[in-house]
Amino acid sequence: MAAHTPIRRTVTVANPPLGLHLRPANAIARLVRRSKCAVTVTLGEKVADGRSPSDLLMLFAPPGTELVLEFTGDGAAEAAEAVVAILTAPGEPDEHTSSS
Amino acid sequence: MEIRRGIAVSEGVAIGPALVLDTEGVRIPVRTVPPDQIDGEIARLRVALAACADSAHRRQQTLADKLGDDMGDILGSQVGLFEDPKLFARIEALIRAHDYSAEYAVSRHIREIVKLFDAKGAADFARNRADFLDLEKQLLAELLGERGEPLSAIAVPVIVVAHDLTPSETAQFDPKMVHAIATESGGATSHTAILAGALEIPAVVGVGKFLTDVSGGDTVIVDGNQGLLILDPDDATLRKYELLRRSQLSPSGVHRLPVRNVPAVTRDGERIYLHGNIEFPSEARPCLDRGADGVGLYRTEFLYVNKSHDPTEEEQFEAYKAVLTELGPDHPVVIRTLDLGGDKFVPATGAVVAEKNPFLGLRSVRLCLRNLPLFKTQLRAILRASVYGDARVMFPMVSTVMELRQCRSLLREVQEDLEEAGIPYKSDVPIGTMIEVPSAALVADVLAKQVNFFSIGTNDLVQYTLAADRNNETVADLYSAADPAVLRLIAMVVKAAAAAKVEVTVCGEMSGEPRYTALLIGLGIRSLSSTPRKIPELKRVVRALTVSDAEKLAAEALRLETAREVNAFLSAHLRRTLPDAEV
Repeated sequence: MAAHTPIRRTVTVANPPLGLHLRPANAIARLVRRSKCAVTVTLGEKVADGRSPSDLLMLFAPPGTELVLEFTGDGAAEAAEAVVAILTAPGEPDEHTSSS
Repeated sequence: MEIRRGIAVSEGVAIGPALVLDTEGVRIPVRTVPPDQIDGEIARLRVALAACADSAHRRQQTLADKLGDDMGDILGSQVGLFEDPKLFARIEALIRAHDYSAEYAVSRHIREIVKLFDAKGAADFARNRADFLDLEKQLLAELLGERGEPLSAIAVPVIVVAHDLTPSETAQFDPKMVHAIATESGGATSHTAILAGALEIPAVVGVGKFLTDVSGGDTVIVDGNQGLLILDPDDATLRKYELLRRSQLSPSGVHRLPVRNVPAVTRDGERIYLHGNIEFPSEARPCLDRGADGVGLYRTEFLYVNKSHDPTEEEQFEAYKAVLTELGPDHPVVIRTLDLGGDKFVPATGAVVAEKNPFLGLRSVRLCLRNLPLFKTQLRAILRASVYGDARVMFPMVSTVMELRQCRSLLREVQEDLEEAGIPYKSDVPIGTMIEVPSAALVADVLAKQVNFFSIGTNDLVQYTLAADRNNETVADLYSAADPAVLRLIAMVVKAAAAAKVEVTVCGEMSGEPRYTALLIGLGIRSLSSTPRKIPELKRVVRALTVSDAEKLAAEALRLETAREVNAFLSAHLRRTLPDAEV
């Protein structure tokens, strides 16, 4: 199937002000573990497993960092879209807390 | 390997596994397990991670209910880490590769991650770093749940590392099991320092932040001679310190004991009396073994610590009698009445109100004079024990002559009570006061009329004179016994005492430092009281000097303008008179 061809995306981390920290890392890991595809996130020589928040945190990616993402397997396209959306979100809820 | 510099407060070197003491209490350092327990450790790790994930889930849910899903998600985000398959795999690999215990592997791995964050240096990662440390704390609490034990139950020899130690913690130490102490905070005269000296174990304090770099069970070296804490020592360093350790006949320098049987007499024939400061009755014998002329300071706070009730008269009587009997009729024992407060202990009776400035508050004799039943019980016990030896009673932290008069009249009352009850006591027990508050030093001539002897407590005298907290490392540079202001006060007290024919002893840390011996003798002091293990070295110093030289030295030192100049001057002089002395 065509799905076995990896989908590759280059993303500039947004998530101000902290960048790729625990919250987005958790969100990505949860999403990847629910999907059936494998995800790697590469920064220079470091490669993180998308299922692992600790791996992602140890990339040390503040806002503006460029990451290379690779998605392999079923549902890769959907996963790619969702993960990119998480990493490029313009902020995070605790910086402009809603009153709900 | 990492070498951290702190303040050397108790000499000797020790090598051993670290026992990390923090607010959570003790972490027993089981570093490795037998190979057949590896699977068991991994199972424990799995269970602990699941339990932590579960509590994090529940926390998250509670928060979400209260504050909405977003907040629950942010604050409960650790769930993701506890469920992180890679984190588990990495810790599992550590256990398998090195036979580590689950606790040790968790701690090692998290500390490695924290180090990576630190290497990045950026404040951007502060929150992530904190998340990992918190993760470790929760996991260790879970894993150690069944192994957490009180300090008194330490069963293997360890080196205790902590941010700071409270007196109640140090009082529980078993010197056979605690081989050394290193703390992040604290100064040269903190309670930790004093107790380490009494226990004769090496100690380094005021090292600054290091606890995040050490895991319970890591091998560490404490060098109490040079004030070093060595983390993760390399093989060459280990060999060097192993040799050093073995060359110490005991941690206390007892190898210098040949001087034990000769008196402390200067080269021009002046007898100097060297006494020991002790805290526990069990120290009386070692004190004599080191050649002490007596006990110049018997601290009595130990009777009050870790007790649900204040000590009874009988308990105190036994403790005083034990030391007096051990020392015999020819060696004086100065029993200091309760000196609690400040960084020390809180009595079981009588609620103590939190004070904004405890060192200037209700402590020591002030506390006793407002708690007469407590005070009179102690005086009664001392007087009853006085018939067993050469007992002397001393009041601490007296700041006015009124306080001293009150103490004396209380002592008379107690004597009359004993008289009426027909209980034997010595009616001529010498009475003394500590001079450790500048006001007392300034009116020493007035105080001298009330007492038989003075004992200058330099630790508090320095801190009150220079208004520098002795436990605060950030102002430690101000705190110096060599400060000209302190020297002038000591000279003043000696003069007042000589005029009134009252004896003077110096009993602070200053009296145990060979650098100051000639200076103090030159100022007119003939009696020093120090931690017992210092006595052999002090005796060597005394036997190498002459009073006439010491007097010239003191006159010269009094002319210097800064503590630094005084110290340099005294060190140079000591090196000349005794080249191998511990400067």
